[in-house]
Amino acid sequence: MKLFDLTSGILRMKQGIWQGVFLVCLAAFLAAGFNAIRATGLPWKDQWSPASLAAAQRQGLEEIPLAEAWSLYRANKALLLDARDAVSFYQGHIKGAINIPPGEAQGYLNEVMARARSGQAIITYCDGVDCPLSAELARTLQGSSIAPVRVLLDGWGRWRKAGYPTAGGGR
Amino acid sequence: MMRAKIISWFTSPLLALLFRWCLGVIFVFAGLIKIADPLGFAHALYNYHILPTWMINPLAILLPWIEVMVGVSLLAGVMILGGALMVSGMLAVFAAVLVISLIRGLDVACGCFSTSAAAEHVTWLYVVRDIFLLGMGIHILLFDRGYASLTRLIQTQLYKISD
Repeated sequence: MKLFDLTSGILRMKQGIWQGVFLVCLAAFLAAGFNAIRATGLPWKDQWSPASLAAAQRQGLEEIPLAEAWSLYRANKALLLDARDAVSFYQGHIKGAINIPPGEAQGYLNEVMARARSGQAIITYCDGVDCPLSAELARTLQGSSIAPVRVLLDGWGRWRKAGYPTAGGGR
Repeated sequence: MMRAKIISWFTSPLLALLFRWCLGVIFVFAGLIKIADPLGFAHALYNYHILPTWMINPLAILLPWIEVMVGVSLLAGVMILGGALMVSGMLAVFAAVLVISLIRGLDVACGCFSTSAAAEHVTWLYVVRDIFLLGMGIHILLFDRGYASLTRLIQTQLYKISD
């Protein structure tokens, strides 16, 4: 009796696995078909790696190489905008940078505009390749007709690694 | 005597039928919500930081349909064993993911019945709920006898024809 239960249990399990495989295949077929015809279908390829996330954020924005940012900075021809939160800024930032989280950009428009008119390059940065804040800030500023604004990708990390001047404390 | 009654009640195929309907409705519902907003669901998966990034989109496309398929299988009573096995397997994986995220201290939206990142964030209650549902799935695997199932209906109709 016991043995019979075991055998029938294994049989049921096997049957269940095959049915499960069939259900998954059917679901995959429907999923792929529906995803292909719908307007909001997702691409199958990797969209979430740091590199592709950064690429999506940069779309329509101009990136500035670190070397160029550094030479502008040394010539005192760059205004660096730190798009991170106030606490991160306080803990350390590029020396001379102004802290403007994207949500607070409106309050700084006049100042940034004046500096841009005086010939300074406007450069935004934040921390990490997939940090969206610098791109967001650049878009907001460009939307207020301050142009061109360029993004220093992974600015804080690369600036620090290069050993360029940094500072701590508030603005 | 009392004990036998309780056991027979707990192992009753009718209870399995009730669980089938519960899980069926829950999975179809959960799947449809995700099918409606694939990008939101992909984002929820991304926020768990548990999958390799190349798997996120394929899973966001596929998983909701699997949920709907197994939900329909349980509701209609077609391939019940397969449906119950898949449901239990998925719930076990979900439980593991929830536990890992809680231990890692991640503050993420569940992505269970809503694709919004602003939805309520994961707590241990979610694990309890998941394991409760898992219990239902295992009950179906063990005690379901195909009551009120399309499969049985078709079989009886075929018998009638062959008679």
